[in-house]
Amino acid sequence: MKKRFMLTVLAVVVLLMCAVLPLSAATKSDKVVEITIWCMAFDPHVNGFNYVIEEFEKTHPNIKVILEPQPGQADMAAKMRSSLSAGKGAQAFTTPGTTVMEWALPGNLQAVSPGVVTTEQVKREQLPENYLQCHLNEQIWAIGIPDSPGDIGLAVNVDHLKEAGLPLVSKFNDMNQLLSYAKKLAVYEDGKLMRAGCSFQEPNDPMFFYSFIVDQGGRFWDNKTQKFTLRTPEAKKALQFIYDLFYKHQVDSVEIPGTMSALGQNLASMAFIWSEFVYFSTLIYPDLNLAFVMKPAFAGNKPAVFNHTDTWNVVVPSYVSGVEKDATFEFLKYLISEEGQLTFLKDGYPGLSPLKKITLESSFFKTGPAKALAPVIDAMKKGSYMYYGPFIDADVMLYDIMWPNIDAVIHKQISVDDALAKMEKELNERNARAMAKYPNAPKTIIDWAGLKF
Amino acid sequence: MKTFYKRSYAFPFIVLTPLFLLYILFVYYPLGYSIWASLHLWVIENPSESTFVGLRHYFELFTTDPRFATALRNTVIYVAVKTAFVVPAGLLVAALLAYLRRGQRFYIFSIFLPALCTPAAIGVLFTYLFQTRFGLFNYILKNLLLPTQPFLSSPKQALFCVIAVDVWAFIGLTTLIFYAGLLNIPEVFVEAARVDGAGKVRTFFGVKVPLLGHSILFLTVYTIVNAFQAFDFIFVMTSTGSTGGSAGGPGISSYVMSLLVYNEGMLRGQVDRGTAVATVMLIIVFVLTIVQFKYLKPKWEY
Repeated sequence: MKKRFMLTVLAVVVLLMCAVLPLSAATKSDKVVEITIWCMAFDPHVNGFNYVIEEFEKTHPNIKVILEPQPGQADMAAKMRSSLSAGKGAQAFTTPGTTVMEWALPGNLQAVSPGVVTTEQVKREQLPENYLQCHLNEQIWAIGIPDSPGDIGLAVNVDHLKEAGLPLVSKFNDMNQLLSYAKKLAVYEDGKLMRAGCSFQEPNDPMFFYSFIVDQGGRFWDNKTQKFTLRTPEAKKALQFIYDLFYKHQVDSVEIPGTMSALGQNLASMAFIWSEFVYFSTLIYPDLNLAFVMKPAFAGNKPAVFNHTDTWNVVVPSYVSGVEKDATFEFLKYLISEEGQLTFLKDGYPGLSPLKKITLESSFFKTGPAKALAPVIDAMKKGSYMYYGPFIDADVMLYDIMWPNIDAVIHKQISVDDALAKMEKELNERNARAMAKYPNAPKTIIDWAGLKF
Repeated sequence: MKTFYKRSYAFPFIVLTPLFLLYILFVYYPLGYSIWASLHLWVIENPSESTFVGLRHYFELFTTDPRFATALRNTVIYVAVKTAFVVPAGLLVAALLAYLRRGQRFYIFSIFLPALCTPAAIGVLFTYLFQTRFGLFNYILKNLLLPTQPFLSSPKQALFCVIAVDVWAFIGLTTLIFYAGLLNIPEVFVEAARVDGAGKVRTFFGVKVPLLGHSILFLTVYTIVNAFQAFDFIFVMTSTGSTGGSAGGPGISSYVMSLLVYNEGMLRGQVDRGTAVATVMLIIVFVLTIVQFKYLKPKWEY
């Protein structure tokens, strides 16, 4: 009796196990893989990613993408560096193109080619900077998200233009026109500037300085010696122009707050600033009526030179593996697809897509929400598009060397000549240090003739 | 008895060991590690690829880095000015409060309130007050027919504006500690001085101040260490509030050492350089603290 009972129990257990096994197998295959993406808490990026995630999850029910916005560009970079050295964190980060090489060299990133895109595909289908700054050993280490070059033009306050009776143009023909606008827009009281006609106080503004040099036919970097060369007549003219904005033309003042604050507080009518700020301002300052105007060439009547070294990208840390890696790559494939890029731009965010097809051919940039960028795209086709890099430690160079020295010039702490000498010395020291730290880093060769595509 | 003695002898060690282990883990090990990192060309993302360079970073800091020279000079100014203001002023305010017959609590609360506020909030508030064109301070100066000032937009004034705000926020703490110290001085000393014919001022400087020796030592050391670590007000008040996380301006005129550590070590991933600056700071503070303990040691005790 006891034996029979035991056999019955055993049979029930075996039957139950048989029933459960396929069930558990089915559960396993249906299991949702969660991946986390850290992006900057910059509304256009957050919104763009949310649209993409929403669409992606519709067709990929087994992948859940969690977006975690991180405050501040610099603080986010610090967090990501900690994460890379700890080998733990999000499955993908957004990061400026300036950090891609620095992170790829010590092996902290994993190549997204050929898993997401092939190197050939990037060369063929994407704007050139997406290959130039993201390739190492013929592999691609990041994919781009929509973003515009940092030095293509100015934000202008349309209400101020109306007050001054000035028409809104799509681009300034030359510097004289720009300065005449700036002078008419500037507001003075008791001889003091109360509203800047044209602000030049954004730490990203050295990008304009570089392009002012190149516009004159000058060079700030020697491809042969791999050194910065800033003690040149072209660099002097460029920096003198920035100084003159404050003291000769008096269209900006160091007593007016920095560019972003000045625009936001109605203390500046025009400003040299990254173009996306115009779109960004509609989210954070809904009452502000800003428009984008393409900058003129620093010299001559040809289209102005601009560069896209400061792209925004998504990278995958090397610690990501297994199903999480597969899911991350799957998401990135969608993000870099035509559909994914257009979804990112759904809100009308005027960021140039890495995909040539969208940026050069889509109606979005011709007649659609980003039509203000049409003159920029025109200029790109004519050879005005540059890539100044890649430089390791590019952020240090830009924010800790270039901007503080330019800031010191406009505060009359040092002369133009001294600033140029100081910048050149400090930039070369930093670059030499970076090259000693990363001996396998490729040489920086800037194509002064402009990017071809 | 012997067992008891042994037990009581061992007890402090048993209690202190976990604490000591925590100190090793969270203080001494990171300290040693950061000094080690400062001797390398440190690849933060992959430390195994770092190259040993000895004292190269220290040499560069003192010879070629313009920001370090400015930061060191500004830190010394910051420490000297802040300490010179908050310790004597705190003592003076505490003495005045001690002589008050009414409303002491209200005044103490009012003076201590800024010390309870978040430095970031105070910094933002004062940034607006110092605003050159529309700020309150220039509005007052203008109405008094005095020349307006550039304040934070001047390379010469920015650092002192920040120090002034820090002093304003910090003085409540020194006042409170001195006030508590004054109340704790036994009345017998004051009585004895009075019997000997000493007036209020003489009693204060001849009896009370020497008896506050421990408070003075503590607050001087604490203020100096605190001023050396000055960061929050500088970061908030001199930041351009824009991309890149730049602070310490105009130019690099208000850079201090802790800002340099943060900038190099945290923002830019230059851990080697950041830790080298931090090590220099540690040595300076350590030496200063020893000197202070030696020379400011109270002569009177009660």
